[in-house]
Amino acid sequence: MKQPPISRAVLINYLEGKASAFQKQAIDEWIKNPENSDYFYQVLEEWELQNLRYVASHEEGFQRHLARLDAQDPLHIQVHFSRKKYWAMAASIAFVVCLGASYFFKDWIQYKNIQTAYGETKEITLEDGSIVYLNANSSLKVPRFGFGSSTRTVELSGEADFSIKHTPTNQKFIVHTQNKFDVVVLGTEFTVFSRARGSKVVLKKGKVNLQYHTKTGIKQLIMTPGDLISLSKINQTITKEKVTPEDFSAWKEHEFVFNQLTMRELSTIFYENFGLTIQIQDEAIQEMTLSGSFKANNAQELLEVLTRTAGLNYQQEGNVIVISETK
Amino acid sequence: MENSFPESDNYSLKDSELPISSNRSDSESIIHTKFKESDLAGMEQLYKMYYAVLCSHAVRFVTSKEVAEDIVSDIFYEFQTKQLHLSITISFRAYLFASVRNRSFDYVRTEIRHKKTSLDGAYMLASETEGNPDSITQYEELRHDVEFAINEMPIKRRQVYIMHRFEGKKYQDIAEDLQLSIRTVEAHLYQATKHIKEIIQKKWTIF
Repeated sequence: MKQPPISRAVLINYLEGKASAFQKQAIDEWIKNPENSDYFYQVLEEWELQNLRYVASHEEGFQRHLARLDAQDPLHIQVHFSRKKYWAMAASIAFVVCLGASYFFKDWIQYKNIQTAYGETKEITLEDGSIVYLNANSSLKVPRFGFGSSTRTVELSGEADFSIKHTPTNQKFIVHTQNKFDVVVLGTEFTVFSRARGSKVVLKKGKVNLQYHTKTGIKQLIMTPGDLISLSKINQTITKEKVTPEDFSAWKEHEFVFNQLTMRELSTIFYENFGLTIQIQDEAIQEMTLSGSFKANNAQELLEVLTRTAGLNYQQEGNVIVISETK
Repeated sequence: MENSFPESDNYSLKDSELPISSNRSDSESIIHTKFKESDLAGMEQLYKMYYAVLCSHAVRFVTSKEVAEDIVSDIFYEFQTKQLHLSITISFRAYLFASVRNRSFDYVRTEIRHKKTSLDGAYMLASETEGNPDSITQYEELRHDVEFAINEMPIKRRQVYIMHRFEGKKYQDIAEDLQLSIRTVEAHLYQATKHIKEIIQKKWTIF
């Protein structure tokens, strides 16, 4: 059936409550064909758009959606996977429509994308002499051309420690993130964390200008050494505390520094850094917190040292780790 | 009505109508592209295109802005957590509209069984539903009954009801706008809610 035997006008009549009993019956039959039902909802949408009862704000709706994901699903598994889908798209580039392909190539020609796998860290020296340590499961986009001359802008997704060279011309260095905030500096040392669950910036030396986007526009914040600024997912809450900056880049030396870390936070860290899911059934263990500095080169070593210190047991099955009491 | 749609005597889809449908399906391909970028980009696009229109449609059944937005948000939330963009075979529009209508229908059905007069706070979870109506005409009839019940009310009462429930205005603001006392606003709302519920109950309690 190519052409639906029910016209748009009849459907509109029906939506206005003016259809005859016979027409109603005919429509009930007609709509059983999925193609027709698709058409019905098209007309329904059109009609509704012309007769809106009220206009709900989709921006507010989407903000609520984000807040809800944040509250109920702090790991944001789907967001983490999205990068991979991007690469899958690159792999099947032959099938990608022109638009997508040209966008991808433009991106690829303009930027060098440095990535780390789960459990891997990398040290990168940029053309201007600045050094970036990239933590596990992170990526840094650096312009292929003109870096250091026209711009010193990089884009970070994940976690990285920056040691930025001050240029004679006082050129700004900008770390751009997908969490709608930018770190603008001249020459300093700082650590940036920007993942799905939120963002953190810790300043070691110098001065940092943090620019973040809110509903009401772009806001600025000046950081001084020792400051830790945390931004919630939708940049609606911002907290500032004084910390020991080195603790936040200890991962550079394969060291993990925890201060009253909850088990929930621990499982987030394992997910972000190693792609592993931690499961804890025992409520008493869920209530525990971890403090201290632990040296570990990989997930297994970290698990070993943590469980040994806490007197717990762990079992690994694939990507899932179950932590339990020692029997 | 007939005059504004000259093709109404013709029961087949005309070529002149096709651009509308092809435009719309183009816009759905934007959503697909966005979902390839990331789930959140896809969801944001879905919100942009369908959130307002779905809320406006839901409110016709449930007569409350808050409830309508809750229903639509729940459906969008499940859409993302269940990764439905990968599995649905019909258009996003058809899926979302059908879900919103189904859940709105359920809401009203649960609501009229409730003893209390307030239409608020009875939003039941999807697990408590009892299956869809057999035909789309049932949705249409319920919607028209609700609209009829609202239109039947005296004008002041209807105004108060619409301002409060559809526009989300506070008692205080309604009282000022319409130059009524807060007590009168409350009384109108009470009567309006009772009236609508009675009308709907009379016809729809068989379910």
